[in-house]
Amino acid sequence: MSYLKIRKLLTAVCIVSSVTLLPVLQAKEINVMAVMPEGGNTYRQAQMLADSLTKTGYKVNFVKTNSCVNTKHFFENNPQTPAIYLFTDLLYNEFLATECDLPLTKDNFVTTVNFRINALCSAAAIHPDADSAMSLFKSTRSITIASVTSTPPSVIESFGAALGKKVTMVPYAKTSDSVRGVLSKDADFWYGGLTAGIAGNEQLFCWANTGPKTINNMIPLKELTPAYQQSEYGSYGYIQSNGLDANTKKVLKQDLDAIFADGEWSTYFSKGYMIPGDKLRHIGVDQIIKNTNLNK
Amino acid sequence: MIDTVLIMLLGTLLGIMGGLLPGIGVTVTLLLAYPFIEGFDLIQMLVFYLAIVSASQYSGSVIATTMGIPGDSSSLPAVTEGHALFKRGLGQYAISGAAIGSTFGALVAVAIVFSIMPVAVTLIKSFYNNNVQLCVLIVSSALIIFTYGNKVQNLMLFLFGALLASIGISMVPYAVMWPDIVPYKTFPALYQGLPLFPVIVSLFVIPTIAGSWNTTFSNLPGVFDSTHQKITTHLAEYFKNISSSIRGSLIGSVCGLVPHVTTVLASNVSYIVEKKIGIRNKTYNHNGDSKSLIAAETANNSAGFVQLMPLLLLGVPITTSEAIILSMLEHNSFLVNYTTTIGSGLFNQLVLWFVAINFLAFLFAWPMAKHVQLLYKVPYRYIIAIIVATLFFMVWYLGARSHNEIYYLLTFAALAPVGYMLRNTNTIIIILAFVLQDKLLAAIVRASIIWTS
Repeated sequence: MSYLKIRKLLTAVCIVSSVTLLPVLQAKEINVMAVMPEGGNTYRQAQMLADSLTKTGYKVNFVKTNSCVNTKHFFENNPQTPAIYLFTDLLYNEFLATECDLPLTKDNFVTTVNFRINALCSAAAIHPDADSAMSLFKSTRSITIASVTSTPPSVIESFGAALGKKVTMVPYAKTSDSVRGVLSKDADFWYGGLTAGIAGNEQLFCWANTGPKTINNMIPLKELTPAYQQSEYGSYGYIQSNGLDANTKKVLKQDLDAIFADGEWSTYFSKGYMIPGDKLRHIGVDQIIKNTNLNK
Repeated sequence: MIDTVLIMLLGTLLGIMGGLLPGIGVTVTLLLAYPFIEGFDLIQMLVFYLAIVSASQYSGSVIATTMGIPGDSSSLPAVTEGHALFKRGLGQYAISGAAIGSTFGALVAVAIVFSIMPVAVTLIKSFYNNNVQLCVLIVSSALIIFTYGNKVQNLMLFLFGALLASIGISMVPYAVMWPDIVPYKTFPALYQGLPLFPVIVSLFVIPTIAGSWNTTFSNLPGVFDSTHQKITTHLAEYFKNISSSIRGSLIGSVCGLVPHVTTVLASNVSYIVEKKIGIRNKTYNHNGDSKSLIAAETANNSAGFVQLMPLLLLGVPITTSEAIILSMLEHNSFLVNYTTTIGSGLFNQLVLWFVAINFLAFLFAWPMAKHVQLLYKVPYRYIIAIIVATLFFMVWYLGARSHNEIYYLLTFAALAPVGYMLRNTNTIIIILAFVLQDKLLAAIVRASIIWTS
């Protein structure tokens, strides 16, 4: 084959491949939104997501909107721009308090990322074992629980109804504040998301969890109080989208599910005692939407 | 070891730069440094953090004294007293006094922490009881309002600051505040609340600058006096105010434990107490008071160390920057609690590093005092013009970092005329009320729930 023919052939291959690959390459371009400011957990997860997608071959544009208002503004101005963000039902409810609604629907739902289990803990110096903590439940008529304000009131109220006693939530702006609260005897117990930090805090004794099984001697709350309707309450993390057509969403979902099952993310989930998305395939989008509406 | 020394140097340099740039502070410096920190071990991360926190306090007082710009709310006394001393030609004494006081405060804080270590966990836990926090916040607010000046006017200024701070969403109670009055629908950004930096610039810096407009450096006493360069002169000047420094250390060591307002509360309460004592003893100088300045700066650095104790002992952060460093530590699988910090002996190492950091920051800050006189050669109005331009840029820049530049500039534009109108009042009270409002409200709400449960 002459040099000229080879050149023509290569040119043809280049043209054909560029024409056929162009839509695929375009489909791989995505905006990853950071809907909360730098420094927090949500921002770090958004960064991790952007990094993972980049490694998978996506051309990622990392957009820092930092608030619900800015995110909504971005979508209003760019309705067709393909974008995704990692969201949780707790964060959704926090945003709702600002009258800023970013509702989850079947159309904008991409995939479930994880389920964060909640824990019931007490100050280790006061209740160093489950028996001691349980005796307080049996002996007193009223109990106080330190928690963050974004905990839906129904979660605490129905706990009181199941126990047949008055349960009052002592509210705090941040998780760290609420931990300080229970350690300083503002409240009898602490309730909130189980993280590596909470589980590793030796000042706290966590003895019950809202997951399906015992974790580190934390018994499932549903075994402790079968009548408690919210005994399995936790927070879902999920990917919400904007401007994605059905096909692109399908491909993206497959890629994301593979990403969340890989080393970095699975380590992240197991360290934080989270149930990863691949173990939650039986949970439909309806259940997550129901969770997001608990505060409405 | 050599790695940790280099990390200490890097942290100190970054801290000094962060303190020199208004509005940047510890949190932003730490976030900017995030990529460098990934591979550090536990002691290196904590040394790096301590270096940024401590060094920024030293350089923050330099910029506050010379330019009249507060790096953050803890530099407000340095702007009031340090800058007044600067305009009297005593800027070098103000800077050296603040630097020596800061080092002294750090050493006293270390001594206090060691002396209470056997009961530190119990003491700190008790301190975070809501009733105790409520008392501390009420006493601090009362000191701010009723210690000196026109008490009615102070109360009005405090209420004004608290009212401004209440705009937006309150976390405790969980509610949108003043929904019928504040136009949230028209300006949704108001849900976030008013941003602190434009509020400080418009309601504190603008009135301060307005009062300085007619200042000139000509014929100021002792501006180019060569005795200002002698270290013994500076030390002698500082030791005249040693009692103020001791009081500042003690106040700073207590206020440093108040969540979210640690160094801000420490420096301002210490300043107010010292000013009150000065007025009572008729020693307070209304044109720049060294004792009040040194007390505030000493308290600052005492609080800077003490604020770390809840994190190291209980694994619980009490400031935004501590929450960030904890998140970085947890991301790298480091657990922070009594066993890993105190029990392992890591705390003792950390104290030695902290002392070294303070001497290093002091050595960096000291030459700045020598070079202050160069500023006297620049016409004062030029300096003010540069300050205003810098602040305007920083308002824009800090807003742009969160896609809120228009909101930041509008907040500045709306409040700057108010600041100018209030130029003859003590607007530091507005800022302190702005910072304390949500803590005070949350403590009151929680107390009502706890008492009735």
